[in-house]
Amino acid sequence: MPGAQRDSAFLNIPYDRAYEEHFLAYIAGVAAFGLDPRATLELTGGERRLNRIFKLIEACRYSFHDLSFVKLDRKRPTTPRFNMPFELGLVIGWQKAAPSGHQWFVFESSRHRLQKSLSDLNGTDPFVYGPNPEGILREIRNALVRHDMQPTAEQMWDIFDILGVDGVPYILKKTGASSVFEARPFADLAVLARQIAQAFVPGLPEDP
Amino acid sequence: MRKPVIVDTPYPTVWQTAKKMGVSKKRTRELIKLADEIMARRQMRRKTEQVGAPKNRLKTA
Repeated sequence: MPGAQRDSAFLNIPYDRAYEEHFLAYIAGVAAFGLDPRATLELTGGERRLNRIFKLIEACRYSFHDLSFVKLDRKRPTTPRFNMPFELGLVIGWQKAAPSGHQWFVFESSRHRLQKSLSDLNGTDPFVYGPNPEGILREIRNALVRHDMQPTAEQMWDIFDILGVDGVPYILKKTGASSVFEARPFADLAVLARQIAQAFVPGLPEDP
Repeated sequence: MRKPVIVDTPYPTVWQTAKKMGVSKKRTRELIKLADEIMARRQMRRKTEQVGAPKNRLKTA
């Protein structure tokens, strides 16, 4: 895995206002485990987008693929969103061709949806989180384990709660962004989540 | 249920995270200050909360 950062987790999720809390839950959840969230939101200009997506995925040890938004949108022309399953396919193809220890996780909101939407993955257990973002925190705890320190449900909730209640309004105002699904707010949220996690989760290193 | 994956990665410091995410030093200092202020405010609020208030704020799915 050349260049892979062991402390980075690629978030393959929909960029949709209805999904904002879920997005924050993923950021909070991976930060509680000492991982930095990465997403295609960071990619701007330059080289062909597909190449940059692949480089970003390659740079991460873990990836979380939320397929709950693979459905028709309301905007005309109504189309399903293929980006999430496509990026999951990139990861699986990459790992089949050149196994590197990258760990990928499929997340879904409903139990049997994956069997219908992506039956090629039959035999893969998705992490089913239900209707609320709290379920994402729970399923991240089911997906990951640390021997040195396991974040609790309450610690993860506190990080998530602070990001949503205090962090997002401040960051949007400061960056002038209209949504958290932009490069600057995302980077700020990752840093803020890391700092808050340090306060809540015992055992995280403090900067000198 | 799939077995959980063991994470044995050393925790990045906030400055390492900021560097990776392309956040400037000035902005990182602001975000650290913001986090400290939020924590202090919350601690104060918790102290003033009535004893016996429901502790578990987790919603059930």
